[in-house]
This record gives sequence, C-alpha cells and structure tokens, in this order.
Amino acid sequence: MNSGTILHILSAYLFSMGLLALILRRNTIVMLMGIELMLNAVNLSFVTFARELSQLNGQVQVFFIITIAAAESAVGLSILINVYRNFGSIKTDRTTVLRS
Amino acid sequence: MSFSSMFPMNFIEGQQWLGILPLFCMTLTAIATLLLSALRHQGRAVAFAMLLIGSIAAVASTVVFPFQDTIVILDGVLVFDRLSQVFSAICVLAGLAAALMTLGFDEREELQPEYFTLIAFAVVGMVAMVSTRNLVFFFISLELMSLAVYVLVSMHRQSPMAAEAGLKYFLLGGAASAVLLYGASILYGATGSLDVTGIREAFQSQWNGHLPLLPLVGLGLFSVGFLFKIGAFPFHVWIPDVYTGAATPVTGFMISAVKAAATGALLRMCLELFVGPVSTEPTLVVIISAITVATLLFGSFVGVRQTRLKRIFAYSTIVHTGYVLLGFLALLGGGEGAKDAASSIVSYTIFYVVMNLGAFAVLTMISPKDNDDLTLDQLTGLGRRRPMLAFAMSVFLLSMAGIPPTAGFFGKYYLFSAALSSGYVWLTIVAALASVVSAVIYLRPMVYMYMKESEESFQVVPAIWLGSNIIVVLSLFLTVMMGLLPAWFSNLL
Repeated sequence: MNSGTILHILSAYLFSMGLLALILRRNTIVMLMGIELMLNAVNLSFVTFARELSQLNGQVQVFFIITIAAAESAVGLSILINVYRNFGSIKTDRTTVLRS
Repeated sequence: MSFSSMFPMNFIEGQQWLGILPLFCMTLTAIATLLLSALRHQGRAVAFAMLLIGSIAAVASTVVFPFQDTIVILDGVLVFDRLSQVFSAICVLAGLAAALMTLGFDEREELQPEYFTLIAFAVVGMVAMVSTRNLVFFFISLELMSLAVYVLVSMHRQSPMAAEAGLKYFLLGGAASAVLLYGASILYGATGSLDVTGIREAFQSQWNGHLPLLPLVGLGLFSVGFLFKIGAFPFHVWIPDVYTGAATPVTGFMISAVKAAATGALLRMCLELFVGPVSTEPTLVVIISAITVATLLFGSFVGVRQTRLKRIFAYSTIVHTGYVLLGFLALLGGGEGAKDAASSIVSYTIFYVVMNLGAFAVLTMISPKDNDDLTLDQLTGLGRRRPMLAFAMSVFLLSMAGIPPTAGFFGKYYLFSAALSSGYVWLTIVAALASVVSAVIYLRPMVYMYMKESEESFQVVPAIWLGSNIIVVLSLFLTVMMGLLPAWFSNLL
C-alpha cells in the first residue's frame, strides 16, 4: 500500500471519528472538537490529493480552511457560553426547551 | 521604481470593477457598520443608516449596470452574470428588509447594535456565494454567511430558546459544511480541478458523462451541504427548532435571504455542472425525486398539526423547498425545458421572499415582549382589533397557499408547468396534492384571526413600528402586483 492510500484512509477515518463524536457525545465541547476534527481531516485529504495530482492549488486551500476553522471555533465557544448562561450546563440533554 | 510596478494590482481591471461593485459595496458597509455600531450614543441608528446606504448602493449598481455577458475574475473565483446579479439584488434587499423590520423590536428586546453588522456580513457571504464557480471559495462564502447567522440566532440573549436554537443550528450547520467540504475535496481529487467548469470538462472528457464511484461520492457529499441549507427532507430536522427559537425578524431573514442565497448557489452549480451535453445520471434523478416527494409530503402532513405560528411557517418553508426541488428536477432533465425551469426557479424565489418577508413583518409586530413564540390562540380576534394587519397577513397566507390573484399562484404555476414539460407528471401530481394539503396550514391562522371569539387573556397588543409597517405595505403591494403582472418577473434571467 503506498503512502497516498494510507493517508486517504487516515483522513476518512478522522472524518468519521469527528462525525461520530458529533452524533454520539452529549458534551458540546466534545461535539465542537468533532467539527474541528472533520475540518482537519478534509485538510489532510486536500493535501494528499494535491500531492497525487502534483498541483499546488489544493495545498493552498488548506490555509483558507484553517482560517475558517478558527473562526468557527471562536463563534462556537461564544455560543456555548451563551448556552451555559441560560441553562447552567453545556450538556445537550439539558437544552430541551424547544421540544416541549 | 514606481509603486505600481512593485505591487502589480492589475488582477481586477476595467469592466471587472463593475461586476465586483455590489460585493465591494456590501463589504465596505459591513466593516463600516462594525465600526459605527460601537458608538456610545445612537450606535444602532447610525449602523442602520450605514446599512441602508450600502444596500441601496449595492442594489443600484446591479440595476444601473445590467450585463448579459459573463465577467470572470481570477479564473472563476468570482463570476458575475445575470444570475448572480439577480440573486445578489434579492439577498441584499431581503437583508435590508430584515434590518428594517427589526427597528423598534431590537430596542424592546435589547438586541445589540451589532445586529446590523451581522446582517451586512451575512449578505456579503450570500453575494459571494451566488457568484462563484470555485468550490473552496464557495465554502468560504457559505461559512461567512452561516457564522453570521449562527450569531444572529443566538443574539436574543435573555431567551433560553434562542440559546438552544443557536447551539443546534451551529452544531448541525458546522457538520453539514464539513461534509460539503469533504465532498469538494473528493471532487478535486477525482477531477484535478476546484473550478466547476474544470470539473464539468473532466466529467465529459474522462468518463463521457457516466461517473464512477469516486466523483459520485464527492457530488453526494457536496449536495448534502446544499440540501441542509435549503432544508430538504432528511436534512430538515433543524428547521422547525431553529426557526422557532430565533427572534422573529431573524427568522424572517433566514427564511427569505438564506434560503434565496442557497437556492441561487444551487441553481448556479446545477447550470454549470449538468445542463447541456452532460447527461444526468438516472440514479441521481431517482434520488432527487425521492427527496422531493418526501420533502413535500413530510412538510405538508406534519405542518397541518402545528399550533405555534413560527413552527407553521417552518413546515411551510419545507413544502416550498419541495416545490423548488421540482424545478431543479426539470432543470436536470435538460433539453428545451431547462431554460424555462431556471427562470421559473428565479421567479418563484422572488415571490417566496416577498411573501415571507411580509408575513414575518406582521409576526414581528404582534409578537409579545420577551417571548415571541406566538400560538394560534393569540391570533384570535386580530381581524377585529387590527383589520388592516389581519388583511395583509391573509393576503400573504393566501399567496403562500397559491390562490390565483396573488404572487404565490404564478410562482407555483411556472414551476409545475416546467416540471410537466420535462415529463415529471407523477411528481407534479404529488406536488399538487401537497399544495392542497398545505392549504390547510395557511387557512388555519385565517380561521383564528376572523372566525374565533377572542378571549381577553390571550390578546396581544400589536406594536406600531414604522419599519415593519413599511415592509408590510411594500410586500402587500408587491404580492398583489406580482400576481397581476407576473410576466415582469418571470424572465429576469
């Protein structure tokens, strides 16, 4: 197995772990980390594809994605603070006023 | 050595400035409102005035310089044509309308003056989103829009419902955009291009239109992000909760501008990727048909049972997504119907935005303080207490139901006839059935407004806000006028 295949499998694995963290966990900090993990898996996949295609184009996109990921976690953490102020907890099983 | 030779700035020149003008106006506006909203006194008014000026300038630049040919900047990172002009104007105007209907509401509910900044940044994201061919730039503009809207939803800080809605929207939206980006990455790996035209060429030259598994997976993951934003069936779960929890004008903004931007971007991607010589995969058509039917039936049958007004509109928007998807099916069918389908999607989006903005301006005015989750009971007797407001609301509801002399009827009529001419007879019958069932959704609030006896305990006192009133009157006028002269709006492309 060449290194490209291994990297693709690794990025798909990381992406699924991020998605699973988002689906299975109840702690919103871990869910936020899941989203970040998914974005980083995509970064890895972009770089691997760019290396296989021997293009620079795909590697440059990673910088944009890192920026977006940082902005997203900043917004996410401030939303979590807002949730904590209203509910006194950041577990998703406490935030259930909309379902009633 | 001169400055211009040291820093060559000639990547935008001549006519390209004309194309980039709306985006430029809105970006400047967003930054200026961010600075001005920090003023100690009158920050809110100054920020709104800035947003008003910038939006009018952006719309004026699309109206004054309409162009038929395509202006391409940086190899398709930005593309300006008729489609992007029309959708930019829709999004800018819808953002301005949402800001206008918030005046008064924001002071009562103590929203921060940065509200207008966030609307401006979201609109920048939308304008960029409908005018790009590049997958990663599309993701960046999608996130620019979404991050602003996540904050807008949570902005109603004293309400636990808004906090929960913001959290749900953020987590699900973040996951959806990550999935979309993974799809973009796989498409890039399969075709060697991030540009939609390059991907289309690769589809044609490498596989002659019949795609193997890798690009299909990429396309599928990429579409998940789109289906999430427009709220199609398996990805609609966030819509009722988020629309209920957000402050009423914010819901109005999401239901009109965010939907319109996602529809516009999807239309661009479909037009650039599929329409024309590339034959659409039969499996793709089957999958989209199944999603359309599920969206239509789910939205109409679950919507009938709702008793809270914002939930009613949330399910109604799911049904409307179903109609739009019908138009997209007709578009993918190709051939003669494709051009009609594209313009029917555009006119439907315009009609839909106008009537929803009107309805949410009315809802904003009748929403009680600190708890703007209205129930149907609170509408009782509105027809007697505020006859004009109730009349306007009835016109918007009738238009959404698709009763003939209003805009909604013609929007639906164009979509259905495009679908019929592309040969989707059974799907059109299902859509007509769904529109009959969903008429009940819209008639129930009217029954409560006019035919129920009002009880003192439930009565809400409508606020008298100038901004919301302006939006109601304008939307009422446009809804009726679009119903009388639909041809003016049906061939904008």
